[in-house]
Amino acid sequence: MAGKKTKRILVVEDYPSLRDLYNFVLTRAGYLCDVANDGIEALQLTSKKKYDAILLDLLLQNVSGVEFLREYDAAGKHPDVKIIVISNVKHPSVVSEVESLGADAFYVKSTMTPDGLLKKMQELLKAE
Amino acid sequence: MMEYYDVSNIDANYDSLVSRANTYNKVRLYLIMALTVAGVALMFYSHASASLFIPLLALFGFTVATQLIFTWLIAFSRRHTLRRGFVNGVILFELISDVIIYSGAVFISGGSESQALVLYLLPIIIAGSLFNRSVAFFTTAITVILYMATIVAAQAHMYGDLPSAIQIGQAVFYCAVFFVFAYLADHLYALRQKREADLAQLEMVSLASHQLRTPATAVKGFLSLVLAGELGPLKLKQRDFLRRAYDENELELRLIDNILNVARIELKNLRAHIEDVDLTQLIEEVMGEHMQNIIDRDQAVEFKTSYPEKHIVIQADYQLIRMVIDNLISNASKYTPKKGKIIIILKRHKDTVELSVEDNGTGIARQDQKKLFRRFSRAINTNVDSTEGSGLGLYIMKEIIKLHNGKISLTSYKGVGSIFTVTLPRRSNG
Repeated sequence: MAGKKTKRILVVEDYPSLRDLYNFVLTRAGYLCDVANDGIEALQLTSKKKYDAILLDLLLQNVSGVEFLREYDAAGKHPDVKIIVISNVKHPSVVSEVESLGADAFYVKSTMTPDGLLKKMQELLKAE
Repeated sequence: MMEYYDVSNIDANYDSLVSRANTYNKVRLYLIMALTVAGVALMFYSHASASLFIPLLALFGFTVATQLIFTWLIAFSRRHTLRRGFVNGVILFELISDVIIYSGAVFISGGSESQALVLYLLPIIIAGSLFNRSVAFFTTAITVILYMATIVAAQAHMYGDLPSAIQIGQAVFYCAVFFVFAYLADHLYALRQKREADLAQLEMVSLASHQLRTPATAVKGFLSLVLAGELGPLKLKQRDFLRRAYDENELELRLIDNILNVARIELKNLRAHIEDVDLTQLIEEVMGEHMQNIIDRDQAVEFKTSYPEKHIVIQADYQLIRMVIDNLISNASKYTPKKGKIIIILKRHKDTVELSVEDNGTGIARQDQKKLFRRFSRAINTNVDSTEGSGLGLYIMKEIIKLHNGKISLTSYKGVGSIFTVTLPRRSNG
């Protein structure tokens, strides 16, 4: 990692335990992590800081994950930011919608362990 | 008396009743507009007598006046959240006033010869499709009485005598038609009510399963971290207990999915979202997820494919097919003793693919095999606690495979083992 800038990741998850879990795993792996409780907090944070990757839940209070992607304009303005969507609702229509809005990957939360998610994140960030 | 005609018998929701009353009012408003245009056209383009002008005007005035009154009354009832009985009363008076209006139209346009009797169908259909059976049949009964009275009055007014037997017979036939329409509209209403109730139930199950799944996902995450030794080494017993907690949680996650899927199946709401599914990759992935359990149970697993040089891709619903494979492998492992072997074979045929999962486990007695694909049916398992599993897995699998126009079969011998074979079309026909 010497000479390399530490990657910054934003975790957007409204369920506190899962948020802490993802934050713990990613921070321990050496990433700089910020957390947001909903889409509004995520938009505020992304307007202030630049992130290398975003781990995004879909069913969020106030502004949903899909609305966040639209507002953030992940596909248009931030194509370099890697976005992993995690949700327990995996309908192909939702998957294709988030992909068209700039998401790089979609995983079903309940089938994914934190370590599995970390591996996917590392692969995605390495592929840059 | 009101109770018999009470539209609240079936509908539990006041707002829904008021909103349907408003829908009815809207329909009525459009109807008035259409009637006005028809009336004007009748005056100017037919040979209708100019003497029709005054009755038509009166009819139109009555319609507009009742429309204004009823619209106001419904709005008033909503503002003041009046009793449902009040709204029901307004609706019934509205329907009766409609029947009176159409009787007026029949009277001035020729009594038993009038084509305006078609208009009677409107309140009948509306009553049947928006409100319940009592309202539909009450409206129809009022219609029949007023129609009969109208043709008698029109005949007396025009010719000074009573309608002939033929005219009465014709009117009775029309009245029977009114009842048929009332029945059909009511039937549609009942179907719609059932569908709405089913969807509300499904939505509730769906919401509940999401709420249940989230904490279970968090438990899975925390346990998997500790089990992976990320927080320090574990003693053998600690690892064993945590592993069991992890397995129980996995079972709970599967149960939640199963309950949601059974609700979808029962309410005929299980739908396949067809996409390309790489079966070879999916099997490897699901196998990987079960590997820890297989190792813990000291079992061996082997995956063979008839087409090793390339992945086998089919058109199917990814999530649903994943569930089938997951269930097959999980069952095979559960019902296979220590040192047992599970063989997964994937074959590609011209139009189909065949996936078989073979184990040398306890096997299933012949008499139990047929029952196995029913709900809440479980094979007796000597390996594990008999309370494990919901008995829903195979039932759901069968329904998922049916949805994909595929087949599932079982070959099993007690004490020898079982082979579950799933055949799926390579291309979706849907």
